[in-house]
Amino acid sequence: MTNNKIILEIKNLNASVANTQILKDFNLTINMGEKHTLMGPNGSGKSTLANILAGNPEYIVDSGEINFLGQTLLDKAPEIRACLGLFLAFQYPVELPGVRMWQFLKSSLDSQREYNGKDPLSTKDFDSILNECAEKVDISQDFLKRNVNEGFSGGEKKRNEILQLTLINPKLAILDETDSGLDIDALKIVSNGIENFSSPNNSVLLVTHYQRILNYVKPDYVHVMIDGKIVKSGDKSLALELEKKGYDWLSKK
Amino acid sequence: MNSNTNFIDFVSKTTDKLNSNNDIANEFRLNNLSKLKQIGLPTHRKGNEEWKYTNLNKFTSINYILPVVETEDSNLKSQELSPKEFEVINIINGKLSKKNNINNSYINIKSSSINTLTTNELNKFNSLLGDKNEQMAILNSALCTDYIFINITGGNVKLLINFINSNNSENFILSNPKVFINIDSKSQLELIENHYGNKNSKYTSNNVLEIKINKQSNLKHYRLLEESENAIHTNTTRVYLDEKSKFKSFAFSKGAQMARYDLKVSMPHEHSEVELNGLYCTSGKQHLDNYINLDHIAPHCISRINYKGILNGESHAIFGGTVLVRAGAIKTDSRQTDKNLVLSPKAEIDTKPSLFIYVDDVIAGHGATAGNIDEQTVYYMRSRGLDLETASKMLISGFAMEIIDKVTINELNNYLIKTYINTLPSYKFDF
Repeated sequence: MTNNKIILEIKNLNASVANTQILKDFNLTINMGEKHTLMGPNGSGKSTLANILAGNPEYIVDSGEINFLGQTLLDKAPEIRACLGLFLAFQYPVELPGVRMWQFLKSSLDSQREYNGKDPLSTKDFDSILNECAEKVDISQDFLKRNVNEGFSGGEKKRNEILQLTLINPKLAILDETDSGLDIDALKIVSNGIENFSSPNNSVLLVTHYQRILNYVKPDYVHVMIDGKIVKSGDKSLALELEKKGYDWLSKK
Repeated sequence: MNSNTNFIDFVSKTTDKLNSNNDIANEFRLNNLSKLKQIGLPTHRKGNEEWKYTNLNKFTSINYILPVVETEDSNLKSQELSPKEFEVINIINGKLSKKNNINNSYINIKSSSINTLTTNELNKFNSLLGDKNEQMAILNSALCTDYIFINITGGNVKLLINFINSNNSENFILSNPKVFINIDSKSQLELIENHYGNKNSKYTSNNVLEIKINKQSNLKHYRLLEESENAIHTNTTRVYLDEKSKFKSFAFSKGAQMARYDLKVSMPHEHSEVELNGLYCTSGKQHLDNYINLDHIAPHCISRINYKGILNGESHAIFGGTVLVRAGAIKTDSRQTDKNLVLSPKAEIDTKPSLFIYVDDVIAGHGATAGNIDEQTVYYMRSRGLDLETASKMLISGFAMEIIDKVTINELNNYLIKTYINTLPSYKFDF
């Protein structure tokens, strides 16, 4: 379902990490309401792209342009990008010792609301929204009393990312290998979270290694990324083809 | 003459002046004075590991005036901390306030100055000090105006002791509070040891606290250090645990321009448990030395040391933690950590947890960290819409809350959040 309004436009992006060029003239356009999947072998630059979009200070953009909802993105701090409606579910969510889930989630949501000219939520309103979201991703009340990601299992950390996605309800959700390391039950919860989030008024960029998650999340487009750029795009049948053939046939020129 | 000789001269004169006919502690003071003359004060020199990072010159080079013996309670800073159900004792400039009003029959307080102390009780003082010359404690004994003996005879007692320092004069005073607490067997004591002084008051406070926890007794101990910004504070605390007793301690340190907390815990009987938590927050040019020793002598004892520091400005903090597991102490279970957040490039932490084990069949570990705020952690928080300042404050307070959260007295918990968390600095990022 597309309404042809461009949400994200990446033009000729070149980027490097520790003096090694990772993205090479990368181009991608995502319209409102679309779900895109970015697949590719290890080291092809998928996570680099996700981190550059979110504004990770460790990644250096050499040239190129990124527009997000009509605004240029590259000059904006990570928190401003978040407030504009960009969300990254981390591949490796970070532990925040001593920072309670409730406090973190409430502050995050309130910051974003304040940026967008809205009043902070009352504790009561926030609690009811949080509880509703937690139920959707099968997260218990005890979980919400803990410190952010501290002592969480791999699966719990990923579910926590989906909880935040559900709560924050961004315009663009980038999911960086959120499916890696999940057992089948967790995979279903995470996939359901993504499908429930997805609407004609937002977009999804799902970065993954495996076709497996596409049994649950139905993308409109599948892109294959090799050596810093997209080498082939198609619909979800491309993912099945990759599952059979691997990536080798695409990297051979 | 160097500052040390001048200082000992001052001690000698003061001891003479303190002597009076109706004071049973005269002889005690004089004995300690002669000991002090013999051994002197600790010196900051190479090879003296105990005093490696703290130079007492600042302490001894001051021209002290005699301590003001009596200060009206009305002159004192109003006390914000008054948890429900706690009995309160005020010790002002080292002297037991006459206005103390204790209603709990399990608390028995005696003092040399009001002539209620027996010789037998007086002789308990300094009995928990080690064989080594404990110089700061000897100094305390030579100058002490009051020997305060507190006996907890049973029940479940909650006691707040305010160690208040007050001085309106331009010159420094030197006070020497001395307290012995005996907790009879099968008794529970929750003790808040609260050190504070009027803002800008000039004083040095050299405290000695001895605590004996008898069989099957529990002590929960909260130490708050909130001295005036001019103050110098030294504290020698010795804790002795009998069989099946427990000691859980929290040291929250914030005040004083220079402070040293010297805590030694001795575990000579089986099945005792010790948990020492600490949080120190330093700023400006503060100097704070934590010198912690834990002595495992008997088998089957458990100990935990969990200290944290937040350093800012040009402050200098020290954590020296030593756990000794002696030959007889089989099945000891001991862990020690010290973690530090260093928020300013000019702040300095010296952290040295050490472990000496003279027996097999023990579980023991130790570790220390020092660092600033991790950029990738902050990035994660920023990606959720939090700005740098909010993110850093949340991380710094989270770091401190890990200790504060363990405090089970509601009023104290709130007080700590107000005085520590709400005043924490934010981190200046260089990106």
